[in-house]
Amino acid sequence: MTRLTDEQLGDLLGDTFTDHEHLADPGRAVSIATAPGRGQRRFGRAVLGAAAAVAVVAAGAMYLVSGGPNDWMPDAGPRTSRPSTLAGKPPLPPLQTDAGNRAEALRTAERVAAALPVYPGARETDAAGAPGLTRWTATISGPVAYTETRQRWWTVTGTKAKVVARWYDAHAPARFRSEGVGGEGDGTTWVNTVDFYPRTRHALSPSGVSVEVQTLDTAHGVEVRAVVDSVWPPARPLASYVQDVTSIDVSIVTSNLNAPSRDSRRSFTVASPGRVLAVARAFDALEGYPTFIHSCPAITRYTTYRIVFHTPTGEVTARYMTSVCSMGMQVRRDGAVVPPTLAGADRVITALGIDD
Amino acid sequence: MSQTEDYAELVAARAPALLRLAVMLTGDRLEAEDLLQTTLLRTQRHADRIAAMAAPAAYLRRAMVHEHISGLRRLRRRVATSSLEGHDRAGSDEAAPVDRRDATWRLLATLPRRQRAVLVLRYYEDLPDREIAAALGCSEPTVRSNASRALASLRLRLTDNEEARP
Repeated sequence: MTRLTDEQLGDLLGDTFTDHEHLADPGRAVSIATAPGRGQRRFGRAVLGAAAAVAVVAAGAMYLVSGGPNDWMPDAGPRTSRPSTLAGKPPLPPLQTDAGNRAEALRTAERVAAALPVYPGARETDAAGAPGLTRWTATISGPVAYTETRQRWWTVTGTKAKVVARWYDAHAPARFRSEGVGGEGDGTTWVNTVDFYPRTRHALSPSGVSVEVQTLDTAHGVEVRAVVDSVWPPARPLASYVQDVTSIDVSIVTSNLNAPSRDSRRSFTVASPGRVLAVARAFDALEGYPTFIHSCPAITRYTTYRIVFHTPTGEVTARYMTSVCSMGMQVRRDGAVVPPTLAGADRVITALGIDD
Repeated sequence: MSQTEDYAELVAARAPALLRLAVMLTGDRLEAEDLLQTTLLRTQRHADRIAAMAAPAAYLRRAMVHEHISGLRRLRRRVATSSLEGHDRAGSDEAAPVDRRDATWRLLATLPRRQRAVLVLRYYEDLPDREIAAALGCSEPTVRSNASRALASLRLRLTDNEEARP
């Protein structure tokens, strides 16, 4: 091969960069730039829904949940499952990796996107074929660093955007449920939205897949965009699991910010093998919680759980504070924080037999 | 319209171009989105000041480039830079340009960030060296030096790569 001149290399570089522009989704870019708390890590739809459900007035403070990704420690331990050493103890779940979780999320997004219902007569296109929605800023997502997204686009003629949205509301993808037809506008444009969540999804789980269909009336017909967001959980390192638990110490502190005199504290020890096993199993089954920043409501009462698992190899402490702001359970082993925080802490509390 | 609203409009309008720039700088879609978010998080603090600038878009670009190469941002992922041997194929003449661009993209990931940034700003953003120097916070001779090294590295490795093809 003849060596390229600087000019030829420049041309090659220009072509190479242009070739890869498709990696930058303009809708995604605008979404990042205009999401609530612009420029901050965004909050998944499911969690927003949960926040609304508890009907707490937002105070607008911003909190960083579970530290930043830069604070992560490298995964420790082997990548394959190992059996528990003691009979009667919970088997260690297969150890995950971030790359594996991400790849699985991507496969899920692609599978769900491929199986989306298509409005009768709709013609599939690409982002360029739906310029109205491409410019629209309402793309939703989970925590961006943990979200794999797939989009599909269609145009439909001879009908209205609202009609198409209602059709999607009545034709949820398999194993999903519709949240109903909603929408958003800027005074001149109105985009209908239909959100879908898995029927089996845990209400506060940040991981999993969700779909939003948007429809927009335009001069050339109805534009339809489906956005599939698949959020993957950060992998738990081996040090995050509890095996061979001998007993569990629990302390519960309920704080009333408006009436500190009504604060309450209690503590107890779980030593029953059956209960210990159930709690350890629930704890080991929790998934990592993706990091994000979100608006935090005003909180006047919350409960803090401190759960200490005693094992022959050390002490694992799980700390969880009930509030819409802190849905992650922080894990420490022998005093050192073991990221990531964990989602679904209420399952451990349920296993403890506490309904506070 | 307030300057904060001006800024919101500015970043919404510039976001697609900034994300494309981020893709070129990082070589990875998710990295790029992360870089865009981080950049906007930082610049948002100065929203009013940026909105009042004569060339706010250039400022945002400079902020992104600086964010990327400053080293303060510890990236979690690196673009795969596996051996090119497995990727090369003795395809048709029609496939050759595509192969070469793919190879170039992968080789770009092996360059130091500053060198890659120089190439992106020069050959993607079409900026003159003066503006590249301003974006990188260095002198024009430093820009030329970085560009020269980056081009030499790419030239050598592309040549080696293509000569090794069956």
